[in-house]
Amino acid sequence: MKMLRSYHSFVLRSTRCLYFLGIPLVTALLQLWCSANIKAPVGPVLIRSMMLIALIMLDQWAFGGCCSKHAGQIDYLRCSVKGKVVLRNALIQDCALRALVIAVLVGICYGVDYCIAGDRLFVPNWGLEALFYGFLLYTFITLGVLIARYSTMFFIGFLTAYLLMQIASGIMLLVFMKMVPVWIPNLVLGLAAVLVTWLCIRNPIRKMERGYYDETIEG
Amino acid sequence: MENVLEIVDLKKKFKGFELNVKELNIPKGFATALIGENGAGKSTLLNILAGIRVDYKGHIRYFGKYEDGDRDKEEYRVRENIGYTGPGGVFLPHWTAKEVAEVSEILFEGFHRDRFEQLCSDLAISTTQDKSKKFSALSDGNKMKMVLAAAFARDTSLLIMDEPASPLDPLMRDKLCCMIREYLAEEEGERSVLFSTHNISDMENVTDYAIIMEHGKIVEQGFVEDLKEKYILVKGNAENAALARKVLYSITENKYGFEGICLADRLDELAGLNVEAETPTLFQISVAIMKQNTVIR
Repeated sequence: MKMLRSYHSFVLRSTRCLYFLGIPLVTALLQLWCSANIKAPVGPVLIRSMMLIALIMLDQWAFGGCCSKHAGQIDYLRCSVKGKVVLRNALIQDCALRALVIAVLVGICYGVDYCIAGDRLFVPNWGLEALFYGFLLYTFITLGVLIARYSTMFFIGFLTAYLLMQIASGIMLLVFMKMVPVWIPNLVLGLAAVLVTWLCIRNPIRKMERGYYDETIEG
Repeated sequence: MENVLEIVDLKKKFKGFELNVKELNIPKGFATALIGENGAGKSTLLNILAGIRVDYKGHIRYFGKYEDGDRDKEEYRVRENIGYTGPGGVFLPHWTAKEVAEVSEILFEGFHRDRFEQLCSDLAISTTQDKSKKFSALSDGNKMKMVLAAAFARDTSLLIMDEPASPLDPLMRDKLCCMIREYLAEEEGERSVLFSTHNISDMENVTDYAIIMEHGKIVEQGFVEDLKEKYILVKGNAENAALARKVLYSITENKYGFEGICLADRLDELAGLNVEAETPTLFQISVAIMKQNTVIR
């Protein structure tokens, strides 16, 4: 409960509504349209790319700028013994909910497509493919969030999201066209997901800890 | 007399500036004003005392029994008993009054949500529009009001406030003085307030003890009543200005006369001159002492 309250302190209700209702709804509608009208792999790649950009941008309204040079507003948390714990709880909750939302979004994509186009996506190793999309989205979104948190400029967040989207789209196409066995990116992305999650929690905490120190000269 | 804060050999060095406080005791149960010109080291000192900057040398004792190392031990409740307000952004930019209340309830056990909402109402930041406004969208004055409301809504024993009056209008400054007096009166001498200010005149009526800083050092301190006995305001005719200048800390002259501050002990040195002596205000004493120590030409 405390973890959830910490998370709610950083992520406003409007952002949470977009995160848990708005984006899944838009994803479902987009998948509906793609499944009905687009047979090529560009459809799923397009949807997942847009999800990537949207989820990176949404973080700007929650933890945006928390690792930036002038993240001075964290002083209120520094006043309290519990400040670091509150921030850590919020960051852990953020990563956990992000993973859950991505899993749900991937599930929505497969579910809607099954309803519209039958078992087209359900190839023999569809489970590994679904896992691949989950790992890919989670790793790249978390990486984008990690980078964007170092700036307070909205544009930097968008630029980061756009560049990562390009890379992610390329990897998705490689897998979709069976040019790479899916277990290889699954392994790499799985490990990368653990690493970026750790960095995403650690870096803002370290920024807060460093905030206790000015540019003091020793002696 | 008990002290709420005892500071010994506090040092902090930056490029081009050094905070060096050999000994400083903040009396318990009083409102203490920290006065000094820009760059004197007031904010640096207050940030250290509030515990939001920890890179310094020296010792600080809180409430007569806790060392600075005890600040982060939850069982001693040192940080729980200190309320801090600062200039600029204390809260995250996207927080509204609701988020401030929610996060304050998590961070501080002694935070009272109903008191916070009442204070927001009393300070006129409780309109529907203001309540849902993000902190970054509020005016500087309303930002400070919200920060003050959050600090006064907690059960604390010490308030450390960095220039709380600066962004406030005169009416709100008077209100702040009332809030400080009520805060001190509630616990009958168990609560203390330490604030820095440039608005000496506005805050004088709530100031019991004054500390004047220049270039990172304490150059004068004492109870306001004692300072007003230690220093005297001297006024005289223009022809005596040259002689008076040797005795006075600072002198303001025009073609009709002069006025300035000197130590009461040295008033005898002006005997024989046609001068009037008056009790100075804290503002006049502070400016005179700052002029003695400033590098401003």
